[in-house]
Amino acid sequence: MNNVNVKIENLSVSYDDKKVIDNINYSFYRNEITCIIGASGCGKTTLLKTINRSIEYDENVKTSGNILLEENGHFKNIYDISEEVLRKRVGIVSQNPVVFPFSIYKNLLYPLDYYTKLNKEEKKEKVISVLKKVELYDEVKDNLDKYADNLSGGQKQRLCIARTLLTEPEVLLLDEPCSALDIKNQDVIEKLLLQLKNEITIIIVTHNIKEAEKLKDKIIFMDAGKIIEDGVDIIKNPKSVALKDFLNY
Amino acid sequence: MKTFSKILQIISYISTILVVGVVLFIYIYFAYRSRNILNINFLLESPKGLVLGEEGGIFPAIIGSIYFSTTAVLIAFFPAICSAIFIKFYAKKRFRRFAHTLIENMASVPSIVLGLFSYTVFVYRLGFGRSIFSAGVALAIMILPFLERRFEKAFDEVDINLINASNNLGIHKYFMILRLVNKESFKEIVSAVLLCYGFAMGALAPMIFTGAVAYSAVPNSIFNPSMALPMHLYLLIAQGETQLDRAYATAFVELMLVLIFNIFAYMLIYKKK
Repeated sequence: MNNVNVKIENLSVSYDDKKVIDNINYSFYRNEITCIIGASGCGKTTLLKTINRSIEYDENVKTSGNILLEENGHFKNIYDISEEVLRKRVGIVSQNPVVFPFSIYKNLLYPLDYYTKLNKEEKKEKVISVLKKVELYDEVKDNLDKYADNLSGGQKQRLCIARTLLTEPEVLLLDEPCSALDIKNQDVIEKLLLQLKNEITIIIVTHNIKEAEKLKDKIIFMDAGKIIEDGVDIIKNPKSVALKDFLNY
Repeated sequence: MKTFSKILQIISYISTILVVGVVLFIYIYFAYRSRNILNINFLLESPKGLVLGEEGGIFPAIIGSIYFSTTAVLIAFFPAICSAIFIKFYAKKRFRRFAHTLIENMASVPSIVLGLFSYTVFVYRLGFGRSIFSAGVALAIMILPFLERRFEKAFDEVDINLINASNNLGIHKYFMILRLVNKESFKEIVSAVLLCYGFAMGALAPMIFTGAVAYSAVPNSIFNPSMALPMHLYLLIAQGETQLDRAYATAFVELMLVLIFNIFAYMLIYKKK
């Protein structure tokens, strides 16, 4: 129980008056990768975005219930933490990578300039180290001052992950990070996530069952805003009709 | 549907030609009417003559107009950008709607009323007298709603995904505005300032009672009154047919001033890009 990092209690979310998440209770554990699977519109992305309150960018969203984040052995409600602090602690990488209209280097300086008081050299070291971590350094080392928008989809996604990692999050949320990537880039990101789980808690939404199987410590299956099944082997041994349908059993 | 689309296209085409044509016509006609008046002395001398302006030039009015507009833009810029930032990035939907209604109402207040306000408050109550500053405040109030709405529009055009990506990093809005929004909307902001600069330069009503005078030397402080191109133009036209060509020359100089500022600013923008 000590390893619980994020605890969700009676969470419901609705857009306008349409309920998208319906009374969910769940705990995410530290140093684990939890994969959320389910059909489109089942509420997986909404659940993910609720955890760092990025769901609230939409003013028509209403939430109820609690999401608790572990802090020095105690749990603190995320609604009692400022949005900025919460999003630093709980980073998110979206499906479509959004790079800032700067150079590759300046994209990575953006969080560093805000969060740290490092000198120029120290910042450069940090940038290089994070680029190596996401296996992007060798590909871009001669083009760090080039516009980040010129990178390929996979490179952009890795740059966005690197940018998020520079904020040193405790929890990393990923919304279908590999859905638009080729196999090579998928492999790189999956390998990176498996490494990262030693440092942080990872929650990933995916459509790709193979990817979920490869990455998972646990898998959650959602349907109509509810968690229907969860566990380690739910793909091999589905119990519910909904999951069997989803997996085409 | 095809015919309708074709008609619409033709109407749009004709309208565009008309708009461009009218602007070009104004420039060409004003230049033509000014041909016997415009010379270096007209630009660099003070007005002279028994009837002021029938001889000499408009130099103090050119400098005065630049002073008036610059003061107005400097006064209006800060509140306009700050309120645009607040309304766009911090205000809740209901307050945003309320603020928009107020600002749009403010835009429709006749400019002479703003002149009256500045006359009462700044010229009399606060004792600034008739000065570039008092008129600058009146002009600033006049351009403020336009400037604020244009700034907001500039911010609206920043890709929401960029804003969300920055928020996702837990970065405070002020940093995002300084680093990201500022860069993305710079061109629009400069264009809004210029548009309002031109707007202030052409306005007469707010400065009649507050700072513009029929004659003065080039002012050495913003707390002195000054000549202004629109005021000089008004006085020349008021003298009837005899001074019309001088009035056209004055108007042409004002048009060219605004054009030069626009060209200069666009050069700055593209250099930055």
